Amino acid sequence: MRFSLAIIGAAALAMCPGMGRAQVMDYGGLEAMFGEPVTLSATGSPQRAADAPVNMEIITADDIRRSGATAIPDILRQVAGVDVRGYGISDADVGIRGYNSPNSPRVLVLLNGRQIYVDYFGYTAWATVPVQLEEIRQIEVIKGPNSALYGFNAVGGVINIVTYDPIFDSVNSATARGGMRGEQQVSGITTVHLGDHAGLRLSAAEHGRSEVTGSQMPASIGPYPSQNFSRSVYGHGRADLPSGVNLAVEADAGEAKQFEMTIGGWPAWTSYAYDREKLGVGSESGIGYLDFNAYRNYMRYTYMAGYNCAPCTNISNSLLVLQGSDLMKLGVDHTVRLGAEYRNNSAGGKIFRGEQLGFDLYAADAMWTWQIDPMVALTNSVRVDHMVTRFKGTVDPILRYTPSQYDGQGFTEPSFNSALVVKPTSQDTIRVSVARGVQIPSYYQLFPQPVDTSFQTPSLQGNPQLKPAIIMNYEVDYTRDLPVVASKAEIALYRQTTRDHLALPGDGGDGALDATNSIAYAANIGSSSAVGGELSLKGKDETGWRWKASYGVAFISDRLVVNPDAANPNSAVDNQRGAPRHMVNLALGRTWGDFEADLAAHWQSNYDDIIAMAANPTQNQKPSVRVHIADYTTLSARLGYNVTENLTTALSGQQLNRATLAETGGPRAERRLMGTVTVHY
Amino acid sequence: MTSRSALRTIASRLRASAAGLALGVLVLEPGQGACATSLKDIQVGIRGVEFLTQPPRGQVPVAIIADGRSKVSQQDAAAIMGWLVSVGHGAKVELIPEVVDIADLASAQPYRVAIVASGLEASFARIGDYARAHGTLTITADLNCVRLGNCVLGVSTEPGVEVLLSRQASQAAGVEFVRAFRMMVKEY
Repeated sequence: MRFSLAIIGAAALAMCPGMGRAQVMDYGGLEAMFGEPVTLSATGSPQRAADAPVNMEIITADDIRRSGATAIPDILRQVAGVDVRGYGISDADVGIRGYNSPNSPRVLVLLNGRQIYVDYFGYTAWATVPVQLEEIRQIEVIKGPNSALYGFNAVGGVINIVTYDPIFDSVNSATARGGMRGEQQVSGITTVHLGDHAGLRLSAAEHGRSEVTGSQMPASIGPYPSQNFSRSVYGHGRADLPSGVNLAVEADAGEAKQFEMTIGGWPAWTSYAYDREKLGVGSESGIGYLDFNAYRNYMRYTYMAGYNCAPCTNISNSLLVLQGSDLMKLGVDHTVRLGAEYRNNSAGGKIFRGEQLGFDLYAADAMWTWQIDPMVALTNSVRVDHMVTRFKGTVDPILRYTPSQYDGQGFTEPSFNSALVVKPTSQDTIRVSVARGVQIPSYYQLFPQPVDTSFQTPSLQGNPQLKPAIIMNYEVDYTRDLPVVASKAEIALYRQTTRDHLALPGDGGDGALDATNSIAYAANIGSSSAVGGELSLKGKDETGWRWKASYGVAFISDRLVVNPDAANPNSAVDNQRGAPRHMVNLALGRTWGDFEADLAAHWQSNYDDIIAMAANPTQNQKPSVRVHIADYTTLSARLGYNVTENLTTALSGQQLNRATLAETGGPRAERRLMGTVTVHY
Repeated sequence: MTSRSALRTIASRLRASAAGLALGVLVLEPGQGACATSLKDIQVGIRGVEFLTQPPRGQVPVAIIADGRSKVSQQDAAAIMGWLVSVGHGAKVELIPEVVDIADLASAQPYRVAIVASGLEASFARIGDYARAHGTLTITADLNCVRLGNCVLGVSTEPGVEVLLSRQASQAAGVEFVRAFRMMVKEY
């Protein structure tokens, strides 16, 4: 019984007499009261965005609508320090403060706090995010590690997508969109309120688009089928019971087919099928707000074509998470949160060797905020994760490791975040923070695969002796309200170090290549450090103008142990050149009555992307190679008009300044124009 | 020096610096009264009603407590009354505002919500007594009333929104806010 803990918790809470009325986070009410977005993502405790002890940028529903974007990565492109790579028309990878790559593993993506990130390769398949943009209240982008709250892999940053509340908010709309490159999308969202204390929101969508035209697909990559599509259904229900218990249920399911640049820069025609379910139970009690969550994610991934392989592999990945926490305010100055978590992660499929493989994870965490003074607050969070692998099956005898070495491996690692937030005046905020995050190896890096050199040479294999990568972040942020120009200015300076950098099989590392048997193992390949910062200015005035300018810079220095084997002298891993060093965003918009116009520009400096060996099939010993991407500018715009109170039309465009653009080592991105009609009811 | 005392020292110095800045502003602008209630103060304060553990619904009589002997206080109460009647407040309840003279407060009906107008510094204790007796949520733009433990909720909206909650006053009056709200305001 997957949800037994949550059900027991619900039953226990329902029987508790004297519990107070439902306490849930009324984002809209609190935002209206404080005049700024509010969040749970920084510490698990409700906070005003300005009080959060982490560097966080919140993208509001208005920002999302005005962006004209049809997918979340396109929206994230306007966030300072965020690097978005579009591989084809549907696939994208998102990095925060450098270290981006195909199937970026260092950014943890969540939907209402539950993991969307998938563990088999360690990345986020954005096409499987089931929500429609119109039902998103805000997207919270945390820069820097936050493993102390969210656990492993929240190291480069965290992106939490927060949807509207089914009780407090009413979202009812139908949207149709069409445009260039076969853009066809229909979606609907409806909210049903059952009195004041229960509500259910349902959404469904189908989205089709044509992959880049053949001329934009490098010959070494293509050809691939052209028609990408995704479809999804998502339900979110909540009830505040008379006993004081809050119930929350979320469920989604869907499928997607698309071209994508998968792990290590391997181009692929891929298929996803997924379903996810979550049950949450919470209640006020004499010892704080008790919260229990149980959720399960299932995804089936099929790598259908590419490299003369159709279909060539598949993966199924299940995740069960049980979480419990107690949030309490002690006296008037102290907020404490205690939590525990269990994760059961399992995978199977043709790609992995083994009848059963996965891992169990046990974690305990604590957060303490001390309001030392009305102007000074200190927040400390700590979490300890204990992970143990499971493996049953056989491995090819030519591998270095035996089945018993793949089973029962594990580690125990602490994470922490500590931040001092000082508000010397009502217009100034200074934040000094230090954080330790932990990135664990993915299945692909940990577990064995069948040895099949007809498919890949050398054979790529996981390494059970990998250590997790440790990311330390030291940061000073300063925020100042500038009422004279109706703006807020923010500056962030950070230094980030990565120890035991995790490389994919074949990407180098001392001793990672078994040349005799042509097998390349995953490896820890040394360390890397980054120094950088972000500067932004955002504002709006009473006449309807709004503006935003931001600059992000990251200087990365690697000390990697690249493969010293003479047959394979170079590693494809190069963080120094693997992400743009400079990024600039500019946005300007205005509202005149029922008319909205917004224009955004993004410029970034050059970088080296990686793609797999198919681009250079002569280099059999080096599965991934670097591809230089020149600096580029891209423009996007949206014109919106409220025809009536219930009907909105919009014309939007992406990459308006150039017909085609090489923004990655994959297919060139193409200009797109779209028209959208939305009916609100 | 322990880390705790060091942090308190730093905080104390920062507070002293800020107080000095604030004093400087007051000296430069002697005519600026700190207690006049603004429309935004009222809108923010009334929204606090929604975060009570048992928020009122339907028609809710609201007392606007003023000093009938003070012209400043009367003018402030009249402005509050006008805003509540004509401008709107964003709350989900229908407020029925009535001005109550501080002299008549002891014998006034039990109000669930009361807004404390300016010019009542000398009467904070009486307001606290009334709130404790009738379980009244008292809202004010005079933050001293909250700091002294007599008013429950204090609101300041310029230059930024600041909300103070007196735990002493709220517990004495039996006025309870949801935990999420309490975690987002400054408690005294």
